[in-house]
Amino acid sequence: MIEFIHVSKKYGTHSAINDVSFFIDRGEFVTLVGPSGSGKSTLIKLLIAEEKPTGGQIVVAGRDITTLSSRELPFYRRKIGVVFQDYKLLPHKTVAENVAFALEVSDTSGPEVLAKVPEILEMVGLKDKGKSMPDELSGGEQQRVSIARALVHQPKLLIADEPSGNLDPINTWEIIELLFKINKSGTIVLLATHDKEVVDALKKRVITLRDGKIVADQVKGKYVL
Amino acid sequence: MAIIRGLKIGLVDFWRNRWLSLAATFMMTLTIVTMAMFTLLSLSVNQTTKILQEKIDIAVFIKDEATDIQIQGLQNEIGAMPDVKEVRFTSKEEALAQFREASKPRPVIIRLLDLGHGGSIPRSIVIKANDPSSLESIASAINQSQYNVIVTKVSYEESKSSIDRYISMTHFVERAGWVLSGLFILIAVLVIYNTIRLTIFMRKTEIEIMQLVGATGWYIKFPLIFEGVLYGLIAAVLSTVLLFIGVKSASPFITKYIDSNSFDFSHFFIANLSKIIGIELLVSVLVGGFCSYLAIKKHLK
Ligand SMILES: Nc1ncnc2c1ncn2[C@@H]1O[C@H](COP(=O)(O)OP(=O)(O)OP(=O)(O)O)[C@@H](O)[C@H]1O
Ligand SMILES: [Mg+2]
Repeated sequence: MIEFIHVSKKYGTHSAINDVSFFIDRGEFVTLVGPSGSGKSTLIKLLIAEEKPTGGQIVVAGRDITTLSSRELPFYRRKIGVVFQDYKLLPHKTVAENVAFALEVSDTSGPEVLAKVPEILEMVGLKDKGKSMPDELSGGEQQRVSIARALVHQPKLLIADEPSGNLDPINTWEIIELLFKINKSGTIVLLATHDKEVVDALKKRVITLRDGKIVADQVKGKYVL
Repeated sequence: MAIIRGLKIGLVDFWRNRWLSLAATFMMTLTIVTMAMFTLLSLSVNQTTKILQEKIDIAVFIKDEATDIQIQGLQNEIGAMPDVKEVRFTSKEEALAQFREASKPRPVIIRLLDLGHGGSIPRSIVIKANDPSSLESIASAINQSQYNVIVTKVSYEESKSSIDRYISMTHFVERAGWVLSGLFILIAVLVIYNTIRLTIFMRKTEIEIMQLVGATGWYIKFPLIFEGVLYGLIAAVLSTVLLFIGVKSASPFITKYIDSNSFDFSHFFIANLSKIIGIELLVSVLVGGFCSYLAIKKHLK
């Protein structure tokens, strides 16, 4: 389903990703680990075509996404949901509007948006926060808004970059549970984190990055540095 | 649906940086008013010139001692010249009648005519050409003709100088119009371009997020294009109002300057109002949209 083939990304002379190859199959739950600066976010940016690699190919569902035209790009992005490390919520829109926004940009009809948004907010446990503004929410809640927005398209691939970054253990687990649930419904989940406890408890496939290179790829992995 | 959304966002953005928006709208208005004003002036001067050119002719006054055969010969010769449209002979009686008609407001002259003092009005041949500019060569051909002996005067020079005045005025008005319009369009384009650029910077994060969640280029660009078009639309409405007021107050002066009783500037404006508004809308919307397009092309990844 997703294949990186000798992918490299250089910022100037600095290699953020260096000759990385891997394959992720349908329905997998993959954690991407590595110390800060090892290239996790960069790899995700390459996967959502926010950045173009300086070398190699990235094939998703049979299509080399490094060759997507600016016309095709939006349609590709609608098939993937991304939970960003910095949430990327719109500060002047309410929680519900932030989620609805992702539907509206893809020409979903008004009634459909009205029906889907509360449903998805309930799923992430924010049923009563629809009218709140993002800055009235805790970090964990904002994180969940970001997840709700990523899910509202019913994507085939959910990418979460450090979703437990600033959260306490309970919140973290709630979010991990949520990701599990989503994975059970058939969505590929790619989770980037450096939370050792989470990774060790998950017992899922772990890809370990260091200095932009894959140093380990284990089926039931542990966080090793 | 998408259009309504675009309109809404465009309006919000307009309001958010309202001072710059106002400047953009103002510049656009100035541009359109200038263009429309000069177009109107140029059209009306053209129109007057045309009316005058219609009227311009050569009158050949004939000596009293000329015979009918000589006159007929002259008439035939003129009729055979290239570009002559019309040759009309006016007899003494007709000339007198015309003079009498023209002098109606002055009873003294009528009285004099009644007393038999009208005998000295000469016969004449009036010539019209297809193209008024060829009258000059017709006039000189008459001067060189063998029938010149029966001619007292070829009246051409007088009418020519007044026509020339109008033509040079038309050219001046047109040139001034082009230069000023060009200058104002340039300024308007710069101001609108910068306003849209500011909007793009203000909404940078929002646009980035829209792109990341899969918004198409058009979805993002439409409100921005509309914002530019909005400046144009508002400017078109404003300038129509301004023009209306301007024309109403300047009309007597202009009509006087153009110096033709067959032409009324303010009527001309009203008669062409729908055309004027149409062109205004077209120009303003195109310029506004074009500026947005440029700003988007330059500043939106
Ligand atoms: N836009 C950029 N320009 C230049 N260098 C960059 C850019 N983005 C990332 N880098 C560099 O690439 C390397 C990898 O960064 P990346 O954000 O992918 O790390 P990360 O694994 O996500 O770290 P963290 O766990 O702190 O989020 C870093 O050394 C970073 O400085
Ligand atoms: Mg990161």
